[in-house]
Amino acid sequence: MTTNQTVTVGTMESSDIMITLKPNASGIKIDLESNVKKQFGAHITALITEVLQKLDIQNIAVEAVDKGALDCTIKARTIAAAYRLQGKTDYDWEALNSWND
Amino acid sequence: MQLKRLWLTINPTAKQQWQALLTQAGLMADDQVDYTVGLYEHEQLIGTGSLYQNIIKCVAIDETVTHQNLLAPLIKALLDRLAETPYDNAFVYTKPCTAPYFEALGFKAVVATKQIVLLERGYPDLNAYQLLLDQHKVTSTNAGAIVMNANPFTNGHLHLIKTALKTCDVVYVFVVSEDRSQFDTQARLTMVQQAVAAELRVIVLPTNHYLVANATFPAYFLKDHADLAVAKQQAQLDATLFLRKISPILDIHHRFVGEEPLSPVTQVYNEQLAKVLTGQVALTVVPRLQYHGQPVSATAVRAAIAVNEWSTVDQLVPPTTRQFLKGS
Repeated sequence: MTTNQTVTVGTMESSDIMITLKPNASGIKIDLESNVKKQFGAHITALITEVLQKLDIQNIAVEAVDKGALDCTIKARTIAAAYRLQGKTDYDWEALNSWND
Repeated sequence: MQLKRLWLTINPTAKQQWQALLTQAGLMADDQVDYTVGLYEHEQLIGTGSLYQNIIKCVAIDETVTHQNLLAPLIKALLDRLAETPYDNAFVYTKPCTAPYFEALGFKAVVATKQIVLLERGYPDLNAYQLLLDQHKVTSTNAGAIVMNANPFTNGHLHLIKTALKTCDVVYVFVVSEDRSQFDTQARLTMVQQAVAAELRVIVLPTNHYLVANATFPAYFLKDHADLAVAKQQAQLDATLFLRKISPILDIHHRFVGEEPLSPVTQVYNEQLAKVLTGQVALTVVPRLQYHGQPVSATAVRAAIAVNEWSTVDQLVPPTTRQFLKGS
C-alpha cells in the first residue's frame, strides 16, 4: 500500500491520544510523546503496531501524542486514522469485532 | 468555557481584550495574523492563539488559569483550522523556556538558538525535506549555495549564479517557497529552472519553509522590537538552520549572497550569517550587477512591468524570463 497524504486523529485532551500518520519508506516507525512513557511507552507502541499490522499497513510513520489514553481509546484512534488515511468510510465491523474474541 | 473565533479587524472590544491579554503575558500584540481564536470564561478572555499562514503565533494564557492545560484546546483549534487549508504542517517560533509545552503537544524542534526555538508539526517535515535534498545531491568537492526569491528572475540573479560557478563545481540554488510575492512559488521556480537549464552544475531546489524568512518571522516575543535587533535574531536562526540541517546534507562549503547596499536590515543579516558560518562555510558577498549605473533588481523589473515598459524589462532579465513573462 502506498500513501502520500497524512492524517491526524484525536485530541490533546487528558485521557485521549492524538495519532498522526505520515508516509514512511519501510516499516512501522512510531514516535511517542507521553507523560506515562516510562511506565507504558512500550505497551502503547506495541498496541499501535499491532492494530496497524492487523489492518495490513506495513510502511508508515506514526506520531503519537498520548495524554494517558486507555487501550480502547488508543485502538479506536489508530483504527480511525488508518481508515481515514486509506479514504475508507465503510468500517469492517465484523473484522474489527473479531479482534475482541 | 467557550472557544470562539476572534474577529480582530471588525470587533474592537475583542481586539482590546486580546491586546491586554498578550501584554500581560509579556508579548507584543502582532497584527500580522490571519485567524485568531479565544477562550472565554464568563465573558472574559482567558486564552488566545493565532495563525499566520501555517505559523502559530501570539499564544497567551491568562496567568490565573495556567494550570488548566488550556494550551491543548487552543492549539487543537488552530490545527483544525489548518487542516482546512492546503498547509499540512505547522510551525511555532517561541522562547526556549516555553518550547517544552509545545513539545508535549507533539511539536518537534527544528532548530534553536539561545533566544529562539523553531518547532514544527505534521508532514512534510524536516526529515522529508532533507530526504528531498539528498535525492538531488550531486558529488562535489566545493559546492556553493545561493538563496533567492527570484520575483522575477533577473540578470542580477544570473550574475550571482555565474559568479558562484567560478569558484564552485556545483551550485545549489534555493528558491524561497513562501508565497508572498507577485509571482507564485511555482512561477519563480520555473523561471530559475529555465534560465539555468543548460548548466548542469546548477541544481534548483525549493526551500519548503526551511528558510527563516524575514517577512514571516514573528518577533513579537522578543524583548527588543527594533527592526535591526529583530533582524539579528532572525538571521541567527536562519543561519543556524542552514548550517546544521541543510549544508551537511548537500556538503555545501560556500554560501553566496547578493550585496544590498541600501538596506541596513540586509547588512545585519549578512553580518550574522558570516558570524554563524565562520570556519565551517565560506561566505561571499557579491556586488550587485549594474546596468546604466543602476543596480539590477527585481523591484525595478516589477516596476517596469507595472507600467508596461517592456523595453526596460528586456534589458534587465535573461531571454528565458522574458519568454516566461510574455506567456503569463
